[in-house]
Amino acid sequence: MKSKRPILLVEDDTVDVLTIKRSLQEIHVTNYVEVAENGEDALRKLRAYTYEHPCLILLDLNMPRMGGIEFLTIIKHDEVFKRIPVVVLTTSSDEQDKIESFNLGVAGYMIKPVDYQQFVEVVKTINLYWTLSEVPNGE
Amino acid sequence: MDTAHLEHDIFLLMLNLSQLKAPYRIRELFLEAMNSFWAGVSFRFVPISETSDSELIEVATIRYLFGRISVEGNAQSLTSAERALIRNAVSMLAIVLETSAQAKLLADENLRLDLMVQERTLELEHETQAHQEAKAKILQYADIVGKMQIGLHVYHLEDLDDDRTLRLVAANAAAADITGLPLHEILGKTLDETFPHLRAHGIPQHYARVVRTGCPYNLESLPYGDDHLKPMFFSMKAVPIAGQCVAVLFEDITARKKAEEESNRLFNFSVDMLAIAGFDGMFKQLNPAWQQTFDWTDDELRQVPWIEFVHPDDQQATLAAGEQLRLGEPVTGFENRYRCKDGSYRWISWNSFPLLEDQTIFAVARDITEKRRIEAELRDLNADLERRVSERTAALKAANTELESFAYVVSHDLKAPLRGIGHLAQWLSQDYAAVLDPKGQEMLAMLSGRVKRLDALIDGVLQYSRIGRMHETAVPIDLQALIQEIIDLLAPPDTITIDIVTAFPTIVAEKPRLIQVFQNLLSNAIKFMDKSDGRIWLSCEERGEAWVFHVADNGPGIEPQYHERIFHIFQTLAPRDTYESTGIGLALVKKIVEYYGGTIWVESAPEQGSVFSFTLPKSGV
Repeated sequence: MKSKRPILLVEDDTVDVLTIKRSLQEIHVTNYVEVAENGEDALRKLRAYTYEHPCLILLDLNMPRMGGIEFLTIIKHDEVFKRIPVVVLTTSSDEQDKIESFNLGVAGYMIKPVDYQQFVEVVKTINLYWTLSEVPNGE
Repeated sequence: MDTAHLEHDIFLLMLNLSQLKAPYRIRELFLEAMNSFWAGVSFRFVPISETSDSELIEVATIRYLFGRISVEGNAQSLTSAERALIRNAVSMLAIVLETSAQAKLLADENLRLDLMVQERTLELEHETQAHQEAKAKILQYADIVGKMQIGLHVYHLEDLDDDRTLRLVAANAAAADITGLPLHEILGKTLDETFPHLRAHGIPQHYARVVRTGCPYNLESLPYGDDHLKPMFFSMKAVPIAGQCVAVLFEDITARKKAEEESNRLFNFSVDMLAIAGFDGMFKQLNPAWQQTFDWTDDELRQVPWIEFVHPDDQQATLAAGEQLRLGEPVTGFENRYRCKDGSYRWISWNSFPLLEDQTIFAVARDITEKRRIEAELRDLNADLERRVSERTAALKAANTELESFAYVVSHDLKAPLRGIGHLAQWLSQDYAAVLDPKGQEMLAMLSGRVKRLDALIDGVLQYSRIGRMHETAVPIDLQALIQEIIDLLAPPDTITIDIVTAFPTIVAEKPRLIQVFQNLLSNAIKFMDKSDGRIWLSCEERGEAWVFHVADNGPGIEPQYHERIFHIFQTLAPRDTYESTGIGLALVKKIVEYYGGTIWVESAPEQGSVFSFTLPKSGV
């Protein structure tokens, strides 16, 4: 990752959280991973960041209380949060989910592989991309 | 002058004089000639009443003719012979005069007779001409009477006070034709003799009155039949004619009456309501169907203007229609409500046309109350049906959506822990490699494999369930390009060569489904390839109304007894571990192909490769 700012991971499945953390570790990404277990939690955590925002949000779609799409809708209408790049990381290959996600301006949509190694590849690709790509400075 | 000559001359004179007609001329010339014969002697006629001193010659016969002739002058010179000649001459003169007088009389008489004859002839000619004309006229009348189609009987009333004395004196041919009674049979007979039943109708009495009063009598319709005459309907006119006679003109109106009755019957028995009305807004004539429909009597309907029976809401339109009719325009298919006697209303449909010359309207009306009620019911039924259909559709849609979200949720909720299991197994294998012996590693590997299989199965089942339930948009798809994409995606190993043998068309279909079909078939061919020089051929042909696609390979082949089974869901031919097969692929392909109206089959035998073929209708999917 180009930025050293934290990565916000919005994910309710504990194993998936472990997987992402482990993958990131494996590829030597040192950014702090803030974990929120659903949309509500994620919003709360976002607002808690007073002077710097996450450089990336990894977003699962199927979560209790507030799902990914709902969360996405809210932050994309927020003057400040809407700039934060969001990569959807989900099991859903549902076309509707893709449409809604891209309608709301996600920067990427990845299907979580069952195979761990493949999972690492996905995370690697995300990291590579966001190492090359610029992001606005978060204030 | 000698006597012989004289005699001769006198003779000639008398001859000449006898040719003359006019007596005074004869006398004149006689005197002239006689005077010329003797010189010194003159002759003169002396009337009886006159006296004369001269010698007078008197011939008895001449006395009344010219009196006497006096000889004057030198009478003494005359010899006795000469005197005798003179006397002869005078006698001859008398004869000549008499003859000429008679001739004149005769001539006059002849003339008079001639004139008389001429006059008479002229008279006769005129008479004849008049006679001819009269004859011609009579012939003409006879012709008319003879040829006219109306029967004519002329009866003579012998006794003015007794109507039993009406006797037939004349009849025309038509009368015989109509009655079937020839003239000779009935001529001279009385009316009662020939037509005995007429008395009961008062006919002889009427005829007698006609003769007595000189007033004609008309009878529009008389039914008559007797022993000689089959029953018929007659119309008759009796007129008085000269000579105490009555001429009866009659016609056989049986046919006309029958036609009238028939049309009346049509009018009366028609189930439709028939009406004749006037431009004045009143009904003139109505058939019984009106009473049957509305319960009003004929009188009640004709007493008031028809507009009074019309429903208040329809009166405006009815008046407008009436106006149109008055302008001479027919009105068809006009509907309004008419009030029945009991106050209820019935819907009526009208077809009317006007006759301007008569200022009448002819109308046919039909009671469409039932029809309207049925129509309304039908509409309601339709609306109800539509409502139910849309309810059902909504329910189905809801059920579908529910099912989809169910399937989606199920697949997600199944996959999440599965992924967890898979990852954890892999981490175990990685992190605890030191404490795991090969057997342990193998177990973990199998665990991962099972996880992958289950994941594939869940995907496959989800896909399978979506066929027919989830619809994508059908778009034109270039199959050539699509297949190439799929080949690239599948990335077959170098040992396998895939050839696209024929051109593939562009068809209109749902892209994801086509991908599933070709992908599954191709991946199967690749997966099961057992040769180091694996060959796969893709071809396509037209067969009538369908495309036929072939995926052929030189793989192991399939025994005939399994050709059907392999298309069943979850069916595999080898243990699932061997090829990591979910057993869904072919079932999915079959379901898709059949959903589109095509068929799929395999031609194969062990060691002879396989050809999987399927059809898709050209008319689009």
